[in-house]
Amino acid sequence: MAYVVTDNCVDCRFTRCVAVCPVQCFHFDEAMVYIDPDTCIDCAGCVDACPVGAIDDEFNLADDKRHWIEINRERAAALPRLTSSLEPLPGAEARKAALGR
Amino acid sequence: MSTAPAHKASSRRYRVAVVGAGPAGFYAAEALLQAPEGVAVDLFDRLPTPYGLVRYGVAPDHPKLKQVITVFRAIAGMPGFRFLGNVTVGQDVTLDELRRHYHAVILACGAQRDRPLDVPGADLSGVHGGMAFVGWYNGHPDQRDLALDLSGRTAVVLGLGNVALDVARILSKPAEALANTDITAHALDALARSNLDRIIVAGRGGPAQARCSEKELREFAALPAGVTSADSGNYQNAPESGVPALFARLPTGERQSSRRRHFTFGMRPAAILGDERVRAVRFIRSKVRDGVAQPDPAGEEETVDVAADLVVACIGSLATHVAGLPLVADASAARHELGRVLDERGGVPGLYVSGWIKRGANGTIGTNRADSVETVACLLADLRSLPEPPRPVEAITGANTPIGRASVSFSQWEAIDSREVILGSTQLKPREKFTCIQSMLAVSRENANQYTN
Repeated sequence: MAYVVTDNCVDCRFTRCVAVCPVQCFHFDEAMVYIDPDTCIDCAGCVDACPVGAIDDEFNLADDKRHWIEINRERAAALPRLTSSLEPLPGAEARKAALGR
Repeated sequence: MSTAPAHKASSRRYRVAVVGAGPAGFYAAEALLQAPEGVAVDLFDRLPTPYGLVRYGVAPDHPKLKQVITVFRAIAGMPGFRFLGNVTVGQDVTLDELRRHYHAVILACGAQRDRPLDVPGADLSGVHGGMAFVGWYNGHPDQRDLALDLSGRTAVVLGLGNVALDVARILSKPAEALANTDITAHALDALARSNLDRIIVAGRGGPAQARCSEKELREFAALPAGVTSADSGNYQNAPESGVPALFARLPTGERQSSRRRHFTFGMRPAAILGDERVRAVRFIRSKVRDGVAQPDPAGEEETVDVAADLVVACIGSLATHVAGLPLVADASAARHELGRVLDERGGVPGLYVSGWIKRGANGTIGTNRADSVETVACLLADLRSLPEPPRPVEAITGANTPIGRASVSFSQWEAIDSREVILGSTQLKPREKFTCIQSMLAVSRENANQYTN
């Protein structure tokens, strides 16, 4: 069981999660970040760090979010690793507000 | 013993000592070693073993968290890194002396002291601190002689944080369920003979005030033996998510079962009762409304005595004592700003903190990474203005110095590590830890002799 990044990250990509990840298990593309489930050690540090609540324990995911488990696994394997935080995407604050966060 | 390899000083202009080889120390070392300024790092620990609370804090039944050690090993392999175990700052070398040999010192030696339970009877036999108890089952050399008496039937664990939940879970699990973990042999033996069949976890606050994580609490529903129950949070609307929801889903009444665990809320310890040994804990009980304890300022609250044969107080930690380090008023951490240590005159040049000694005992392993990155950013910004240390590093760590002779290098630690893994494999455990420093040193010395013979 690992932690999973879901759709709230899309177009935000605040990447505060990356700064607190002890094992550097985040990978990224132009839209969002993904967790490599084989590297994640389930410490849960990223959950509270995310300003838009995009990350959750696999266990807690609603049925309509469960497909993100496989997306994280596949995308993390194909994308470069992220070792420190990036600038949030332009419009991230607006999207955060739209998400009611 | 052989000494740590000398630094290849040429490309690294600066040298920094990091004190404490736990997560905060390793992440500080990583950030320093990556800096373009060119920094060599000596990572000190008072024990011959690195990894701090990953080795001595993380519960033996949480092996996945310990995989972070892979990252620490990679940091130990970075150019410019040295580990100097078995060196106690404040005893083998003073902090002031260290500061004369390094451009800067980062203290990352944690919050090792249990916050004392400040009630009458707290010194009775059978009353222990959470950090001490965790160190005992994890084979910490300081706790190997902790005389834990598990012959009684009831344990009371004070606190609702993750340490309290770890302690309650380890006390509740059948020993068979721990047999194939790296739990230390003396603890496994004691737990296998334990008569405890009732574990009461008592928090001052209500379920909505508990600091434990969802993941830790969820494990109680899946324990292999007995039942878990909890007081009601007396909610108007039942909580839907998080820790409060998990508590609300537990049955409210204590059920009869061979091993029972019960969470009780609004319970402020007022005294430990007993003659020589603990017999009961006296609590002042507050009403809990909507998940939150409501202390009555008039003081007309109910007094409840709960029978107890063992008490483990998991009520927080105090910063590790370092002579001369200024602490905040409640002693939970050092006085600092963004990691720069502050005394009454302002910033102390070249002295920094990271990890629990900086922010208090909170957060996850990775919190220390962000914490150390912040501290190291301040240190690097200060680096050019710090005076050149008057004495060279080799004058205290060289082959013919007391530290040089006594210290354990990373490769010597790896010899200890391999031996522990071999010892564990014969019992189907991932490792069997040495709990005696002399045994660790003997193994590291054997390895050195192999190379010289």
